[in-house]
Amino acid sequence: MIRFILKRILALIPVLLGVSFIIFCLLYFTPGDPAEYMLGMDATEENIQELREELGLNEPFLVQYFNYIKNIVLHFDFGKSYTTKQSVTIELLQRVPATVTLAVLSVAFATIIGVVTGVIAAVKQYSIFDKLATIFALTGVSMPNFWTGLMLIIIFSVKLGWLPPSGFSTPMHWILPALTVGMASSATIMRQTRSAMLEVIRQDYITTARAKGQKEIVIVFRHALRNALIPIITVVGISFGGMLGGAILAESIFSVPGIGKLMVDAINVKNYPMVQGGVLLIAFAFSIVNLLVDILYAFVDPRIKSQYKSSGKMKKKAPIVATKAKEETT
Amino acid sequence: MTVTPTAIDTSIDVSSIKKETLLQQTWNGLKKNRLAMVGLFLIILLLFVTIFADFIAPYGVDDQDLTRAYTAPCKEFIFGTDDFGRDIFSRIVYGSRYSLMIGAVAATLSAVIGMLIGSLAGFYGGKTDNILMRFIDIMLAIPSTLLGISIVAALGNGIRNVIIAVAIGAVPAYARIVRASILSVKEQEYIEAARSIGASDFRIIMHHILPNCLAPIIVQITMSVAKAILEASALSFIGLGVQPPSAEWGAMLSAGRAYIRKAWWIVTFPGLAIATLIFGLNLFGDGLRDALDPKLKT
Repeated sequence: MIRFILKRILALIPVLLGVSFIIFCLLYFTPGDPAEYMLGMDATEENIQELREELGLNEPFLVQYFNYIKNIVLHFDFGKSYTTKQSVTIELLQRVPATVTLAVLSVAFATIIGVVTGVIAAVKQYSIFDKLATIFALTGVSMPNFWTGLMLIIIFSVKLGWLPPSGFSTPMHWILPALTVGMASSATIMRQTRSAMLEVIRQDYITTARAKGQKEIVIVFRHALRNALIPIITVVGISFGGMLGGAILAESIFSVPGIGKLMVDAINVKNYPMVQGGVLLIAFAFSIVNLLVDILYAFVDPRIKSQYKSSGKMKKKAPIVATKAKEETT
Repeated sequence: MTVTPTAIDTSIDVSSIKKETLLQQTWNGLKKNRLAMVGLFLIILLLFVTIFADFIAPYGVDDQDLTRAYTAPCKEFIFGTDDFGRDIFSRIVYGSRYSLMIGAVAATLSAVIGMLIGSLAGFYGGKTDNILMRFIDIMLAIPSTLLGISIVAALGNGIRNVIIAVAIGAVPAYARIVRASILSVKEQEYIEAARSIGASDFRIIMHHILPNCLAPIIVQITMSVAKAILEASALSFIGLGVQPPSAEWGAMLSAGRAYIRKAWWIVTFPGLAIATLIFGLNLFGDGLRDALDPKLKT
């Protein structure tokens, strides 16, 4: 198990290097001179040249990239912000708590709503609840989440005046952004839960459990849901990426002081080191979540766990089960 | 040798089965699915609106009447007017052109690139596969909204760059689907037969492999049109895509945000238009998946 985790962490390195390279290329070849942006309209040619030298902008492309990576790896330094001239790392880290809070709340909301409605819809298949839940899921995935956010503001802040429309200081401020980000994902999770549960519920061991007189609630949660967890975990993991993207939009709608808002603001003023740092940080978080999902499989499914434990040939099989479930849901 | 009646019967049966093409089969499956028909209706309705926008819109797209600014929905302006007194309904009608064009072009572009990468990786395997798929892995490590934002940030605003950004974000999904389906048909005997009579790789991929993995690709195309429209409007919404005063739905939402307390209708209706179109595409895509390949049913 530990060897598997280590191997996966090692495999992350080339992916993250690739991400950094692509993003670095994209922003490097963007027209415009960062030094000119930093100094503003009335800078002299000499000042610009000086600053270019100082920032290392006169170096060849690959040297610049190498220095960028070197600073990240050795000093955890993502460069200097063009606008505030402060360390990007510090500014990014200041924004992490808000984004993490929002992401965790959204995932929790989406998972609870999605799994509960999905289970009920599957247990009471073809009932009115099932149909309503399906319609909810179809509408949920169709609404652009920035629009959902604005509608929530209109209803709960402007019309009813129950919740604050912007800011992130108290738990009351967290509700609307988390709803906005989690809504679409809860729909996806609900659909996946429903179909996974339907598959399990028809199995013989469920009939056996019923025949021996087990309580319905125990059957649903202990016998059925546990065996339907793999595809559900997979879809939660995949939606996490979508939620990170949604968080960027929600943060700028609700003025949440998170990484997403920082990045959108940075793009508008062409503050590229900030954009690069933000993308890298989010890609890193996303990869870690994917890794956690893979590890979680082992805890949910004893079959996968035993494959890790048994040495030699069987080891390769575990990731296959995981990727298969992943492919089915995408 | 006399032909027995039973032999004739079977031959008739076979030919009548053959006549039902994939297209007809799919259509027959779709017809039974009420939700898919609703989706198709919504898509056709929006196509109709796009084509006949000049006749449907009661006002011009940029007609301003500052004296009537912030008019709530009424008989004259069914969706109300915005801060410049422009009719929101007319702007939504014209704005459908942006969304449908972005959706169609971006989906086509990503389908072509994704299929190319996926076929090369799946067909040649080995090193080619490894390099291409690692590249796809890298792209998948960046959430697609974020990738879109970065690309537009680098290329600059404007509809062409939005299309490119959205299309690139959709490539990995195609590449993976095409690769997976190619791997599943590659070893079949008819591919070997084609190769043995000297067909080129290109011909084998285009004529023998791709037609046999069409079902998941078609489903992916409908879904990716929906995704492209959503992502493009999101980019316009944060001010990186199509710029106001263009009547693109995302841009309209973005411009109306400032007046959310004063005039709720400015942001409500463009979003409703996006949601309706996406809803239609999703319903149709779901139905298509069920009709094309019962195995994929969720």
